[in-house]
Amino acid sequence: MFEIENLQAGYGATRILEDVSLAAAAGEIICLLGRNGAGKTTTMKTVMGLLPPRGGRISLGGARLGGLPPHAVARRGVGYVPEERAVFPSLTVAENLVMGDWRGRPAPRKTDEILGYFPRLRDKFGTRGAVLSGGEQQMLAIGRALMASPRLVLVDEPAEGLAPVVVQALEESFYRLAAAGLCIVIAESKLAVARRIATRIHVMGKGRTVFAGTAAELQDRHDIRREFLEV
Amino acid sequence: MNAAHTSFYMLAGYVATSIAAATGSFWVALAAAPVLVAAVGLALERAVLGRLYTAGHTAQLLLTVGLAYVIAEATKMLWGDSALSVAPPPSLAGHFSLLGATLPVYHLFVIAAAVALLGAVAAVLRFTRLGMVIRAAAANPDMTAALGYNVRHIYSAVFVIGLYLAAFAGVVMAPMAGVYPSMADDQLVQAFIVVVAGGLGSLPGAFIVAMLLGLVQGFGNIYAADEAVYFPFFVLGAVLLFRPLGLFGAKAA
Repeated sequence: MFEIENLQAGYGATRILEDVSLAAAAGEIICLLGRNGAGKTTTMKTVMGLLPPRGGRISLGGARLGGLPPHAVARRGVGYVPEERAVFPSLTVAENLVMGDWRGRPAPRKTDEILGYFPRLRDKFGTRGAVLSGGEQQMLAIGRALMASPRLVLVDEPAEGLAPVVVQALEESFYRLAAAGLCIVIAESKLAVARRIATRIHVMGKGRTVFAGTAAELQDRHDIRREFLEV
Repeated sequence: MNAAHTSFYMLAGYVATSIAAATGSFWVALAAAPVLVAAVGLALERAVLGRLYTAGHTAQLLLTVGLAYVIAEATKMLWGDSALSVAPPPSLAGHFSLLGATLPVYHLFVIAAAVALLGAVAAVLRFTRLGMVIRAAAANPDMTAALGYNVRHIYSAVFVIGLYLAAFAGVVMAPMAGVYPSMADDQLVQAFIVVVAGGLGSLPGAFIVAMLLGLVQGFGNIYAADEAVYFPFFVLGAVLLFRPLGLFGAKAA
């Protein structure tokens, strides 16, 4: 079980997260939904240890994550796909995937398993990350995050800037990964995407979790949609 | 950013003079001095320098300039401020003729050692897991850390490898150029030009500019000895005029 309780964080004197809470179990796809500036990316960076928490608690499987450095968070079973994808540009697809497993050179079986989720990467194995398309970079970034067999993966705005057909392929890979027992937390700004893929949705607004429930429950909350989601 | 890098080059030269004097062997000095100097560097990195990895270049520059002064004064206290020398090993003490010129065999050894080290560094960076992780951490340290790598340890490893190479060069150059208090400053200017004109982080760029600098200085010493000291700066200016990020420099991600 992945849990965030009353998380607070920010940059310098600016407080971004005031009170964020979330709980997710294995096999769930949770969407952190909100407008730009709601605190979705800050939440992910804080969980990942890239930003120090100023209060609250983060845990995975009962073990504390809050305040640990990023490499320690990753080693406790958390994978991370940032919004900008952060594929290593001078490394090939194969090298980017190998980088995904900090424990050492991964078994070919593991690489094969990951390529099974993203078959488009098979033909690009020797291609440098810099020359991949946006969709291929996103697939590579997600595949790389899976190489160390994490229990939880944080994916920040995976559909941003991608063609609908690529988004559909990504969504199908999320379903398969969740069915295999992975817990996936996705930051998303589009309600339609969240409705399609999430088992539960957490709406964020002004640095707080303002709603937690299913897509059907969110459909009935006009006040939440009007104040925190609609443009 | 390490302005004290060439101070370790100098320190290794002095340490080599003592080891060679005590053992009578250049080869023992070449094996031991770089390791000892790299160990000193690692201790300093752990105690002081490593704390400034996230503090920005200005703080790193100020600290390492200060460290360069400390090392310079410490070597003067320990070895005095006179120039010292190390005899080349007897097996490399002869001369050979090339196109009518008579050159020391030891110069061939220096060239071979430089080529071998360059090849070794390039091979480690290109073909090993350590090299791959170093390239990744240089491109995006946050993402590298988020994949489970302790970036602080990677920086330490790169720092110590760099010091070992500088110290190795200091020992190899000692029989050829001698060991003297200002040798660190002389090399710091050259290293700055090579790194900046080659493009930050580019091994091929550094290699090309280093070769160019050697040729410009060599021909300059023959045909315009009085002005030759300025030529390296002309090289730097000319490169930056047309390639502001250096020959192979790339904008940071």
